[in-house]
Amino acid sequence: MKIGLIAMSGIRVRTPELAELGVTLPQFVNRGKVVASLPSLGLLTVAALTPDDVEVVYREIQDVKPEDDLEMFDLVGISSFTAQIDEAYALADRYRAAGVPVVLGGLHVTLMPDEAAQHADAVVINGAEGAWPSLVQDIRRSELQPRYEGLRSGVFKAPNYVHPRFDLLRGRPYNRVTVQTSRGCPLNCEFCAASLRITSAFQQKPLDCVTEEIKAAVSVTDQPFLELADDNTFINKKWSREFLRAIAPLGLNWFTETDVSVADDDELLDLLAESGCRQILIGLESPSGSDLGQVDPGNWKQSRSDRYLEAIDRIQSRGVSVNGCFILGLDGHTPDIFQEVKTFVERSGLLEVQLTVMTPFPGTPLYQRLHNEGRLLQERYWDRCTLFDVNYKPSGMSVEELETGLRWLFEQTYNDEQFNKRKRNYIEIVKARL
Amino acid sequence: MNATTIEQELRQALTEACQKELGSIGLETDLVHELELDSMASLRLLAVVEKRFDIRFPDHLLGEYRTLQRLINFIATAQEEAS
Repeated sequence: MKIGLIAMSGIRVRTPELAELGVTLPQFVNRGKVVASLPSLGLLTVAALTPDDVEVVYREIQDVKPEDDLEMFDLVGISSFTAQIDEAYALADRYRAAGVPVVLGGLHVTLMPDEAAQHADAVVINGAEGAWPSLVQDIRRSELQPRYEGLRSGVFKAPNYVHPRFDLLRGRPYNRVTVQTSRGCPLNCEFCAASLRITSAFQQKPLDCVTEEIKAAVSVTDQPFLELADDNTFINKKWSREFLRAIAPLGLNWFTETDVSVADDDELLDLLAESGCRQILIGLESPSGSDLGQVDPGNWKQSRSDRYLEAIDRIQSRGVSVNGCFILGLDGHTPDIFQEVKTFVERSGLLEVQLTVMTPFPGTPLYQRLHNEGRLLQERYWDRCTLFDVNYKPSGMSVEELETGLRWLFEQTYNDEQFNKRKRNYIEIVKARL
Repeated sequence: MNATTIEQELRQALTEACQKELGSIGLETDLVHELELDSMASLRLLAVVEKRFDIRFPDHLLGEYRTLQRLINFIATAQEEAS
């Protein structure tokens, strides 16, 4: 038996004016491009959950072009992001028309299983742990079920935990490899469409499993840069310190996502630098606390916003750069927000800045709220879930004002002068530590 | 400091900074490509060179110093001007 696992994760901005801007200011979609070029950790986990006597082939979308002949398998598993889900459905339809059973899974499929089921013989909801072994057993008996539910807890415990098949990446030109240390995030932001939607609570992988995975992941490329595929890595500070001590001897260069509380802990910050952490991405969302009231149920981000500048300083002074992320168009944002973000970015000394528009991904609490309030511009807009295209009516400005303001802010932030200023700031920080 | 001495010191500094042997890298080789440096690693190398030779690259040309020869030329000129 031969199973094909196909990852589709390309993201393309749809609004013509923004797409055009991306050509002259390519930095504004950089993070999206990095994410799109990462291997699919979910499918590598599916591969590891597959019995040894089954041949597994891992493919990414660039390997599977619409005009190409289909590579034939006994079963195909496809995973994709919301923005490319329609292309995933089209590929699934082609396989099914050719008589190959198709299984769809991933975050979008978990949140929209009935939609996905129209294009699949089976859908897997949540992670693959607890679902995929049964599915393979069923297909062998020609008894494939339409829906399988993976576990929402205990995924990092025996017998559910498996070590992802990083060996399937060998020989491919990745400049970043990924390892997951946790699933979920207790902040539970309204807009988040990441792994917290497939887990019942924050789950942390045991330290020995993480270090073994990291060693395996970096061994498949010559110049590995490690990216932790977490929603929020440093929730548990004690675990984090132990983790950083464990990976310090590995000689890594690495990146992860977390929240500003990392700056509260001097020892953790020192360990971050010593372990080769080069950048952390932090969702600041908005420079002003008054705009952050509805972002997370506990108002945690709002309570922290007055210390954002100090936190950025404390982190970057260790030589670890911060990629500060802002969401434009939050409820409470007026057209003044664009100048406010520009001013904050210039004062902060952030090395990298990610500007996105609030995006109601289907299945999230934000989607439900905006749907209930009649503020979604279209009923179905999945290909526009790019983080740059506007899909809803903002509360404090018009759609046009949000789009125009975004373009202005992109031009103000991603021009050569500002980019060089940020680079100079980082050089001076590094020099101060030499 | 003559060009040969600058080159020796530069190779030593960069070898220490990126923990890779630069002995076989030619003067015109693109360091970013050859050493597969990401954007942050490139900036860290420039920081090492600035600190070691007490110089400052122009901010608008930071992306231009990608070969040993260009670095040597800039260092030599800066030192000449300083003396």
